[in-house]
Amino acid sequence: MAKLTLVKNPGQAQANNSTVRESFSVSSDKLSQRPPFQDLYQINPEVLARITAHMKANGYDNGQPITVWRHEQPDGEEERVVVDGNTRLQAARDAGLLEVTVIFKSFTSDAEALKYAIHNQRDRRNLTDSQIIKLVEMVDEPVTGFKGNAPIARSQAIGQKPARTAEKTAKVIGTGRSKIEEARVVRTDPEIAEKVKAGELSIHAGAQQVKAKKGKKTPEKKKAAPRPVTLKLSRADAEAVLRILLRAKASAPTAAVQQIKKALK
Amino acid sequence: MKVIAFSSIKGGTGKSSLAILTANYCAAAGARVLVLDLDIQNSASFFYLARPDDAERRNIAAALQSGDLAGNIIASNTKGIDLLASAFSLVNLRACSERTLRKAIAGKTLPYDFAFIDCAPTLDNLVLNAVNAANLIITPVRLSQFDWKGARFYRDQLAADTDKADAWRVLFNFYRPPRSDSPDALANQYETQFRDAFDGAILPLTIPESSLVQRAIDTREKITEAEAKRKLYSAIKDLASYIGASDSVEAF
Repeated sequence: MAKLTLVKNPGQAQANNSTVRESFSVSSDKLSQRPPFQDLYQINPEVLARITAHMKANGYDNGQPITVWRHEQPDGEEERVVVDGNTRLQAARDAGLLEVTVIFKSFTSDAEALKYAIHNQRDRRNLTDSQIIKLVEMVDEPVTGFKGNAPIARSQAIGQKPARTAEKTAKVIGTGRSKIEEARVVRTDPEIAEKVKAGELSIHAGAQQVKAKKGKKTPEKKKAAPRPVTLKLSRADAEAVLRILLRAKASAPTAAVQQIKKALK
Repeated sequence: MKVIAFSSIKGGTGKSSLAILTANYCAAAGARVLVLDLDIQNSASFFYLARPDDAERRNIAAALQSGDLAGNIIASNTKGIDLLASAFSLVNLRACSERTLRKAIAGKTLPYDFAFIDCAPTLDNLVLNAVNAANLIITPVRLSQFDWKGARFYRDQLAADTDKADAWRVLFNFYRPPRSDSPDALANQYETQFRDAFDGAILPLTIPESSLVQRAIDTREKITEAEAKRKLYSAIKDLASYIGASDSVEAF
């Protein structure tokens, strides 16, 4: 017996032309979990336990559907991969629920789905530095060769100011540009990067350590370069300044002492 | 590119179904087809969308707003057919200029042989956009007094509001041939009424009443020349041929 296309492809119901999205109850067994979506954020055991307990008591909350990307893989098999809601799915499985509520969404690639998942999550969580550096690893695409700026020709062609690639990544992740730039520095040193990922170091502290290791002066250690100053003084005042400078001895700028002596001759 | 609008002021006359079946026939015959869904009911989009999310940003409302048709066309789930999908924001365009689509089509050479426009059952500026852009406007009717009244109203409005009255055709849909020659038989009375009112605009073919139409739309059952399907097959073939797709196909 022929089947309605809506039965064969429930996702078709999404084409309902309204702002209301259809959700479906599906067997939790039919959903797959895989990287990069699965390990986008580590499941917090306490949160998982709380959600599991709630699900055991109340069943699955239809108001919190799991976002599933349903698509055909190159081998012709259908994949229903969880893009957002891995904790909820785990909780449902732990609670012994056979069915969960999902919403189907389509993407053109893993990268597009990942950006969606990050966007969803970043507004929901306060990201730790450990999470941020992992996200940077997944989505950051620094352009080399022109200091992170897009070529002018291209930006002129599209009538926009060149955007720093770090800025783009920052926008995706929902943090600041300087944080991304520091994360990039951290990523150049695998050992320190691991410490940041493990939550032992902040991104800022990690970046400082990497710079120190490479012998680069960190901004805090930089001394202000001397600036020449010209003063118009009376002879008496110049002599007084000279006396003060000579009294300061070692710390007195010798160039200044010599110049005053020369002027007084 | 030949533009065919399926339009009627009355609902349920078979606009979407016939637009889809004819488009499918033409594509199966090797033609390059574009389907434009101007109805917020979005039946044609529902049928053709490969991935519903595709239409979120690129759709016919965005095309009408920007004048950029090509940039808003998306691939459909059917070989040879592309789609300008319906969008809810069409409701905000019901008072848009009546010639936006005509200008957008005239301004660009689109790589299609046929464009089928599925209109909403009403007469607003969106419908007039379709009519003004079309080379052929088909109003399917069921032989009933309501359909007769609707077709008359529609014809008069086209004559008053557009220069397309000559491109308008009535298509007998859900057609069951009269069983009697008696002019008093109801079927004959209907036909007489329609022929008297729309003589010259009635298409020289009919679409039979058939449950296969719904199966073809809802289950994607193929329409072939098989005995049980031949009537509908021939009718759609005739319609496609009238439109300009003369190649024969095995199934569509």
